[in-house]
Amino acid sequence: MRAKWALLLKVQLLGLTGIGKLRRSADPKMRRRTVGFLAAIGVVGLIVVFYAVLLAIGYCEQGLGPVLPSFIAALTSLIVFAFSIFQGGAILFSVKDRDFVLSLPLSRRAVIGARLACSYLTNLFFVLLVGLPVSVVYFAHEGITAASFFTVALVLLTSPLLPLAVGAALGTILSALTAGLRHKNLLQSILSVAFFVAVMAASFSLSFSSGSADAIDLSAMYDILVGSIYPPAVLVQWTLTGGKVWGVFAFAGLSLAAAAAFILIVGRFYDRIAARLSAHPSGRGYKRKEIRAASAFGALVAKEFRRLISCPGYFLNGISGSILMVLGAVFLLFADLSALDQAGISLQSDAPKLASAAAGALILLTGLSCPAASALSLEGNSRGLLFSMPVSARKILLAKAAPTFLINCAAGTLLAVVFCIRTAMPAAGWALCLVSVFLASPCVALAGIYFNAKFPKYDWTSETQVAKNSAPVMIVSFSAMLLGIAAAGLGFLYGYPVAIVADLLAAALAGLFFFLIRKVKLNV
Amino acid sequence: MEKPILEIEGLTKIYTKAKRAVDGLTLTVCAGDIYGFIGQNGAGKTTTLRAVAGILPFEEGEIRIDGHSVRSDPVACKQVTAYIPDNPDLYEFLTGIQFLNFIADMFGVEKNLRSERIERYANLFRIADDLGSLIGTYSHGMKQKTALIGALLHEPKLILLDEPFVGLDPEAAFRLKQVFRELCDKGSAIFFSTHVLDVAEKLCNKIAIIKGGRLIASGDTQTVRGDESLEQVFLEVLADDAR
Repeated sequence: MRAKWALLLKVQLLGLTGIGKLRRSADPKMRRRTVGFLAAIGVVGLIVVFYAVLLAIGYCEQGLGPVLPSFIAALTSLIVFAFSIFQGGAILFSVKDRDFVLSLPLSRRAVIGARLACSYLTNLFFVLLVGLPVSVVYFAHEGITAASFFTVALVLLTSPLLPLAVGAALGTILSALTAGLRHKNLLQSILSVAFFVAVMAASFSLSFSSGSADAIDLSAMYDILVGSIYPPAVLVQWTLTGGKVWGVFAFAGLSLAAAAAFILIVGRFYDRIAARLSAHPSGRGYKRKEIRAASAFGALVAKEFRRLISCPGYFLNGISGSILMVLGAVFLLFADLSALDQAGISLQSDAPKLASAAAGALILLTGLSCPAASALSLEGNSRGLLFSMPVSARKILLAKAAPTFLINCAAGTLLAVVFCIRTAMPAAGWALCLVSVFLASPCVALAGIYFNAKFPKYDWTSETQVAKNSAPVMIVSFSAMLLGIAAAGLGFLYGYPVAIVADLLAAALAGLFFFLIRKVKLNV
Repeated sequence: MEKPILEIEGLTKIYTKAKRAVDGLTLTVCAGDIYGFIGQNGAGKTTTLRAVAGILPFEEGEIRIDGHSVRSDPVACKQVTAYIPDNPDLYEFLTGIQFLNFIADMFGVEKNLRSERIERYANLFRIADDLGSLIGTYSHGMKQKTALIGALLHEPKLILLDEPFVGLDPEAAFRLKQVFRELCDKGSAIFFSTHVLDVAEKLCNKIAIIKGGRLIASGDTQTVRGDESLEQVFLEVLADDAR
């Protein structure tokens, strides 16, 4: 008989991936939609593979081939850690089927084990997507032996465990500590960002104080990432280049121990934390106040903003790009730009290159901030209520796109203005950066809501999964990443024309999605 | 002659080729009607209500609400309709008052009118003190009451309800029946599905029985049941149809 936690994991994965529905559904529309979804994921996967291979080749060309496995382990672990903190208590507690699962004859550890395993597998998918092509480049460049193959395979398989366990534990602690407070959701979001920024700031201050001024050098990037931010990856390096066999076993052991400790410790306090999280402040008598009326569109937009701040997982995953833009603006305010001079970049003569690269970066970050891509899916079972309202589908979709547009415009403008002031950008540079923000924002918002209408996932059990892993989110994020990185890279080489082409493309896409949205029909 | 509010003609809904969820259903609900829609589980009641509410496309037939076609003019239809599903999944991140205000905004209910109606119905259903709490903290019955108040705010011409009495306490169920009668006296129409045949028999002036997507019997409650109870008629009709 299969272990109960494995059965629970299987059910969770069937729900998460939609495989169960695809296998049993006789609806051809749904099958077409699933095939479309898989095709979109395939395209996104190819883009990720392309960039991973490019990065790996860059490392090999700089003579850093031997450190590739530890670098990738550190990079992917950092990303898994960030997302695990942002998911917070959602991994274990904020799931719709919690009461049902807890009523089953399962130990708490089995429930936690199944939840953690589900999260591990989704993160492993991402790690393998990046790690496998990099490993192929590594083996092609460094040669392959049974020992190196075993080492790399073990690292790839175990690397998500440690950051996942630590991130989920910290997220759970934050959730539990803020549970009884009135604005707990907003507070959890702010604390999560603050905690993540604190970790990053501490790591960067360490690495900068260690004297690596040349930030563009991949070697410096490696030193920062592996040396300061994610030291466990050094263990992998000791095995691959230092001949210390125990290093990789220590890495794998540390990862497994972290996951086991998480299950044991959280299992002990699970009921208490769950009770604290589900406790509601006692109802206070409602006192009648003046009611403010709004237009139907205004009411819809206000509802979307309330939805956004109602769930930390949605908020943090949804607007991560905007958060990075604000943090980038703050960083730029205090950064010493003389490092650019040392790298041979002149603020005056290279202004067109800098402005174009910045425009690409703004497009990239805007694409990472797209709550619209999950806004429709998050209607879940309440979609019948919304669709029965006397407003057109177009109005509903535009209202859902509005927060993405407004938040990106605000954060993007802030970053663009600070960047242009700090780099004493000429008028053309100012115009280009600001135009990029105001074209990329509607493009991302409209693309997000259009793809969400095409690939909705209403049968979610956790909002965070939809906001983080759903097809529309991945399509928009990775497409913007592709456009942004290409625009930034080529813009740095060729200047204004590249950024202008990228902006025109964003404008054309925004127009296309605006037109396509008119044809969307919303049905349960 | 009574004014038709809801006209369903030959409604057919096909989910899969093998099975028609609703098959050529035709019925008319007039102003002042309290129309009960009864049938076994999976008979097609919810599918019909969803199609009428304009949230489920259908393959054949026509649905008109107050003269407007659901297919070609859905927004006009929705403006005069209220729909409450069997399990009211409301926005749990809003407080009760925020939710009701949102609904009032969507239907364009005038500011003074909405305050007056919210107060009246919230007091009637004894939920006024809880309007400041998040809907996520409500019980099933409280959510049902909130959904009902939301449905009544714009005084719709047609109210569609899927199992409206499930989860309501006896007093709230009594109040709801009172409200139904009041609205019908003002010229609205109510079309609801239920499994509680006793309620349907006492409350409805018209009844429709559906089985396997097809309408088996419909008309005045008195005519449909004759000298028997509605329960007996329902069981007999189903048995006859099965033979």
